[in-house]
Amino acid sequence: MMPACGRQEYELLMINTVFSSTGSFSREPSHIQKNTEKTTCNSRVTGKWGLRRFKTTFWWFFFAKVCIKKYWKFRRRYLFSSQNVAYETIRIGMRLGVFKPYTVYLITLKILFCVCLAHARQSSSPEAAHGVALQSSYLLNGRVVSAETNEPLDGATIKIWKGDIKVLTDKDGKFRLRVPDTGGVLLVSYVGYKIAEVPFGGRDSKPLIVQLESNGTQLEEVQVSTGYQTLPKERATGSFVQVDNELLNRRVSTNILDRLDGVTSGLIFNTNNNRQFGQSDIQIRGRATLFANSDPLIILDNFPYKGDISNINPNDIENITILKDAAAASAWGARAGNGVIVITTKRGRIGNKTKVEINTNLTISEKPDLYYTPQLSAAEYIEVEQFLFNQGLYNVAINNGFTPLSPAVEVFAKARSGLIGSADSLSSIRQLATYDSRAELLQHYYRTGVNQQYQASLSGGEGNHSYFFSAGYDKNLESNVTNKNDRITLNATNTYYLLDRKLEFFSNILFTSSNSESLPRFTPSTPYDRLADDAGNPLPIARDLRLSYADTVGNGQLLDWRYFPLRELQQGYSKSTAKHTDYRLNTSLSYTFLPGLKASINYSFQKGTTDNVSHNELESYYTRNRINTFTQTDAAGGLSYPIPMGAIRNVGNTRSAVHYGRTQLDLAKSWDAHAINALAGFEIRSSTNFSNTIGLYGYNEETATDQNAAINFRELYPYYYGFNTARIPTNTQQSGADLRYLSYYMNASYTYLDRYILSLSARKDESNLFGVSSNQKGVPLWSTGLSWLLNREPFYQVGWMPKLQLRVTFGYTGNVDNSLSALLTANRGSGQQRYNTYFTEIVNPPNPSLRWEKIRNVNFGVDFGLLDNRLNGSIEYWLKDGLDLIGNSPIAPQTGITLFKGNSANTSGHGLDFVLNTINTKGALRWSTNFLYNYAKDKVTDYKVSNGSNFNVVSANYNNPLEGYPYYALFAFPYGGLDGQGDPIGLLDGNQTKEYAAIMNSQDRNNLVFVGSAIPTHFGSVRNNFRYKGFDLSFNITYKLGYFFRRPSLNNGSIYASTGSPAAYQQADYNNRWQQPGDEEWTDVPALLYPSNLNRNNLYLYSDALVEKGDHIRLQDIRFGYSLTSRQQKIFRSINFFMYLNNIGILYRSNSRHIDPDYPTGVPQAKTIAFGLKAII
Amino acid sequence: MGCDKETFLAKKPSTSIVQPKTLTDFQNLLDNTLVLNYTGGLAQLSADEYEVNDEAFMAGTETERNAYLWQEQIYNGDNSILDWNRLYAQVFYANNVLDGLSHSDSAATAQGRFIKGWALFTRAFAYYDLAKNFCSLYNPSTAVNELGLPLKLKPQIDEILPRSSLENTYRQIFRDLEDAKPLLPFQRPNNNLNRPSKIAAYALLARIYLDIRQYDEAESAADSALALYNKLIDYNKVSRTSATPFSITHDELIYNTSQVNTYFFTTASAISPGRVPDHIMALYDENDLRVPLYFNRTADGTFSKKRGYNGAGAYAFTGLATDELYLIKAECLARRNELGGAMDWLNTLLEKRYQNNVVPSLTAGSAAEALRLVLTERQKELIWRGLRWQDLKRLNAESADITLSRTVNGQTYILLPNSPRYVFPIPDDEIALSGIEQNKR
Repeated sequence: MMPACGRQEYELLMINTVFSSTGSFSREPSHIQKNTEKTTCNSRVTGKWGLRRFKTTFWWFFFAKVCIKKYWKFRRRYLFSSQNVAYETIRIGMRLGVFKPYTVYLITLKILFCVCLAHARQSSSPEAAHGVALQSSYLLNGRVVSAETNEPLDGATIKIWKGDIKVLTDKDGKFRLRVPDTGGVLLVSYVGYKIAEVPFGGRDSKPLIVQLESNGTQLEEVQVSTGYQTLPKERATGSFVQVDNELLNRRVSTNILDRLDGVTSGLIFNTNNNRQFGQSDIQIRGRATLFANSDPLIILDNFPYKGDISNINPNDIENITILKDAAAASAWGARAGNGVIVITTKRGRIGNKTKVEINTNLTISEKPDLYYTPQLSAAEYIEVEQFLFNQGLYNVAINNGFTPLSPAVEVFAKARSGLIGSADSLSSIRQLATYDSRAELLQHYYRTGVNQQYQASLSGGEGNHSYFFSAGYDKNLESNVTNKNDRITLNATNTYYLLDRKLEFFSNILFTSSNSESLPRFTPSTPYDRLADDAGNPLPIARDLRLSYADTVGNGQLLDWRYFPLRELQQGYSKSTAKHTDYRLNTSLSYTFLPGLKASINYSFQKGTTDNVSHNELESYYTRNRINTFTQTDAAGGLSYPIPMGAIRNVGNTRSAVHYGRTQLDLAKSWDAHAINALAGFEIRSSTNFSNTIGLYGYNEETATDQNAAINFRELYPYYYGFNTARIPTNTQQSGADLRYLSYYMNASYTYLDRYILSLSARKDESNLFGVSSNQKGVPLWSTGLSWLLNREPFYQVGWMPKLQLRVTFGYTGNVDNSLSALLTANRGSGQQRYNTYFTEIVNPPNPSLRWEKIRNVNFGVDFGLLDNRLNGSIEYWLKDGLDLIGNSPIAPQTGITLFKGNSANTSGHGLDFVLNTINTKGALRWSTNFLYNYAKDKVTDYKVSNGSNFNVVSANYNNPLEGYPYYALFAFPYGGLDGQGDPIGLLDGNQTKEYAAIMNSQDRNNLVFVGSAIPTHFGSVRNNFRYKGFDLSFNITYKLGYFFRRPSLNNGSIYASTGSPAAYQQADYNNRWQQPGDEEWTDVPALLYPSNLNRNNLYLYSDALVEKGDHIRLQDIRFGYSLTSRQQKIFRSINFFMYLNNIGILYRSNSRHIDPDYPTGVPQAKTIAFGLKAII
Repeated sequence: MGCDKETFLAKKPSTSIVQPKTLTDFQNLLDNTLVLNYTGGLAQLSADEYEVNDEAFMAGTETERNAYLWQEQIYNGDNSILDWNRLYAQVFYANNVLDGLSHSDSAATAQGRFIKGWALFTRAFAYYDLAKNFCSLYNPSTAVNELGLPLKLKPQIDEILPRSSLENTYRQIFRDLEDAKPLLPFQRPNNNLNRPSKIAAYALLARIYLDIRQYDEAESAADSALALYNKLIDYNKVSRTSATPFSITHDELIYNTSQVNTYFFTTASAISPGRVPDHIMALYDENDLRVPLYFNRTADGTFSKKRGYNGAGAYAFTGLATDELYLIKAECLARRNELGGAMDWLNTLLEKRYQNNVVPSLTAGSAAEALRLVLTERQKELIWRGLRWQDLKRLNAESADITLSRTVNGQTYILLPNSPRYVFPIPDDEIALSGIEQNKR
């Protein structure tokens, strides 16, 4: 239908043009120009009209050309005739030298262009579309606000029903639109809100106030931020995930990043205890590096945040955007390889009333479940000690007199030397067997943890100024009594709009001050260590010295050498404090030269200082032990003290400063059916830190003086006991770093007809990577993407699926490993040089072919909305290939090194991110569900250096990745069970064998079993939300599937180690070990051997018998809230009470041993319950 | 902009990192005593200078237990064998310095020459230590056909070499030492004995020639060293009660190295399980000051080793000292029938070892007796210095017919003279990663 319509118009236009070009070019242009400007300012032209206009323009130019040609012909032929007035005028003008032929051409073109635009304006106006005369329209003013909060909606679309003109609202929600006098209906839409149909009247109607109601799909993003720009999500080709304010506030935590756990697509959190080698605690879309830093880049507002993320108060955060693919993250170039987390702080808005918000909550956490970790009972461990005692393992220690012995061994030794009778020794042992160090720890070292959080903020905006101020206070008493900390945060954000809003000045100041305090912890060296007697008096424990030695040594001339852990705790003799202060100033100045063209300068400065003080009073064990150890005896038996009497204070300072500057040009231009959104910029960054530690001996707190001058740090002193000799440690060290980056970047997206989007980006990073020759310092990275909003196609008629968008992107991100260099580099040597001279150690052998790591990203995405958007979500399939990755591999020691690090590997990963949000019921009870499913798999596709033995592969696979297998792969030795002597049987080349060394050293990978991935390959969550009147309830179920872990079992090596430590007694399967012939029928746990055989032990510990499936489903948390609106009470605009339970428990696990797969070792996170309140005044 | 940009990006990222370019940088690398001044410990572990009781034996590591009993396989899963790895790390440091010097303008300066000599000496010292542990005893007539070491002479880590012949290995050691000799200073570096001097170069040559039984060369090298430096310390002036009687700068030291700090069996400390066998203790005279200075009487009456010439170090001193040169000189004289001379050198040494006024004056009636006296004193003086194993190889090659035996848990193990088990196996990871040929034991 369009072409036909078009032709008619062309004809009409041609007629008009002849008229205007011949008759009225002298007065028309200025008038038309004016109108044109208004047109581009006030309205955006829909696709259909744009295309038509484009064609028209083309025809106009064509016509002009024809005209000129005709003119020249005419001129040649009738140069001296004067039949045509117009041409005569021109002729005369030319003769007088006023008109040159090309001037004529230019004037003609200009006229034609103006006419064309004027025409376009006419034809694109609704009146023209309906054949209404231009004169019968007027400018309608209006404002769009959210019905719930009354806040203006920036960027809402206003469209006349059945018309083609669309306008967007500005920051204050205001719009102006030329509408016909006859009145009509406006369609007002805004992502996340229901479309409103608003009737308007004839000329002189009052300004419209349109209130939009939320459509309740909270997950539907509005604007996503890359840190360089903010763009509507539907305009983005890349993979973005936005976590909005409501979702962020669902969880209670001191740290902002914790709040992403379990609610963010494509993100997996790794707890400390199941983390693999070099694995970051947050991983976005699998792993695409081997040894470089795998942490995502964190951006706070416009700039990377340097420093501890826990300095940021979560209540100051508006939303978080996760950038997952190259098109999204490429803006951050060489540091974006692990994904980017963009945190946006809250701001005030012009036109908002002053709003005061108060947040407070209290979190209570249980004591940790110390009984989760399997360990030998006191009686069992004493049994082990008895056996080792009989084997003579402790004899050297017993005979030298000072090596610490456990209480049971002391009893055995006394009994053997006849100091006590057998009855006494038996009763002592029985007594010891009744103690349980875990109960002691729980009693003395743990408490119910209490975290308090308070925050108040003030925000609003009027005139040319908007603001957000907040103050927060957190006070955390950890469940470990030795630790507590508090934090004060202040935040001030101001935005000024000057010069008719062309100049925008933004400033944000963040201030954080935190204090933490810790006391020495205590680790029992036996399962029956006892901290206090029945009366509660602290008891001494053998730590560095045998108790009997510490009791009597020195005849009173030494300081008491006994160690009373409980006294240290109660008296706080040794205390470590850390005071952290962090300032961040973030400013930007931007000026809009022309509509859509903006230049900006950003500058950020961040300064952090940390002051660590570890103060050990003279009474502390730390100080007493050190003074005693260095005490010297002269020939006459007199004592001298090389370390002065007094406290020992170790002071450390770290100062860091980051300067970040950026200049950027933004272009946003739309005309006809086209829209271009582009930016280009230059960035410079310098990040320095310097740390400095000083040890002060003989410290007097009152006068702040030390006695270091009295110490000879060069002298080698023999220890008071034993044979060791050492220098008095200076505890003094300085080190600094200065990292510098330069980057150039551009980013552009072109939208055609509001439904085809093409994006392009490129970036070059350069840094002062040490020793890499200049041309390799930089790495150019680029990306491109396409997006197609299918539902906007005229042919798209799928009513039940109103939203369908396809996206595809391709590009490169990178990774930097600052620790490597292409040239031989050496570092200050660690340790003591024999003659106390300065020395260096080689940290990096020469590697001329070193390159930056590159990551190739491909992303395919589909965004959909079904059934009136009650069902919406997205599916993304991604490919992530690591190229030139820096790998570690063992290398023949004849080279002088044992591990080689270089660009030696490629990896290939792919996965799926699926998000589905459903609104299950509407009405009074509103039930919605958010379902996240992620699939991520990777494998090493190329590894250029040879791997080590099978034992290397099994025990340290991260250093020995095998081609064709995941980077975090779990390999195991095939296990043949036990033989009649309780020895484990392995498999070598298909035969059962006990040649343990051969099994370990074999390099034939067929002798290994590949069990599977060591990290979850399928994971996600299901969150259900209910809302009924003022009540809301939600609970989140998370799952991690498709992976394996190795469970700990009886370790022959550490259980028979001569010194007591948790590793010796925290052992599983002690009772399941083979003890007598026949046991091999029911158990796989080998007999304990003395002395232990390393390879035999390793065969069992790394066998497939100890591999468990990691799959599990967890009820992560429940939140229950109640909100009162201003209708129900008068004081607050709204008030919300909530209760939040976290770490609730496992619903399903595939292992039958009751092991939490997130905590194969250690103790799982304790349950917490939080109560809180959020009020808006 | 271009120039500014270069300056901006030229800043080094860390204060502690350097890219060795200057002579001082090279010197700082060579001053790394944590890598460079070590020798292997397997020879001490297997030698007959100590024993451990059954209980201590059972608490040992695989390598300790197997090397103690001269088993065919000794590592059994133990990795990072420092006897090999650290010594090749020394070669790597030396090669890096030599490579760096070859690109340096100041290589011809006095300091540059010294550093070059130092690097060459270091490399020779390392290769000699590797050769004596992992290759059979050098014999000029068969060395061409015997397996030597992979001879890495460049710092490139992508170059993996097969084993050279034993002949080439020793040729390289001597070439490096001859090259180093003129570059090294005459003076003993009194406060930095981790650095070599001409004295050290001659002393090492004397040790190697003695070891490969070229006694004339050994004597002449010992003469050269002693001509430069021949101080002895008087043991009467050393504290007999101190746990660390000798400082690391004492007068007899020429070049300080110690055994790699692994193998608990061989430590010299109160908690060390190692004991000096009775038959060795019986060699010492009651007036011999070496007993209180070298040994520590334990509660059960046995003797453990005190710290020795490396001061506070708990592991054996294996470096070069003048007392060894006196003994080399005496031995060479005895071997060429200079009985008087041999006894003079020996007595000069013993004068400083016995209590004043009760110094024995040894005499020998025959070359054989002279040699026997010298060798006994050698065993007594140089105990726990990492030299005994090599002496056993050398003397057995001359038909000394010394069989070693040890009893553990009631079972007796013996090591026959000239057994292939005097040569240690190359660590398993080296064999696995470079594919070089393993020793047959």
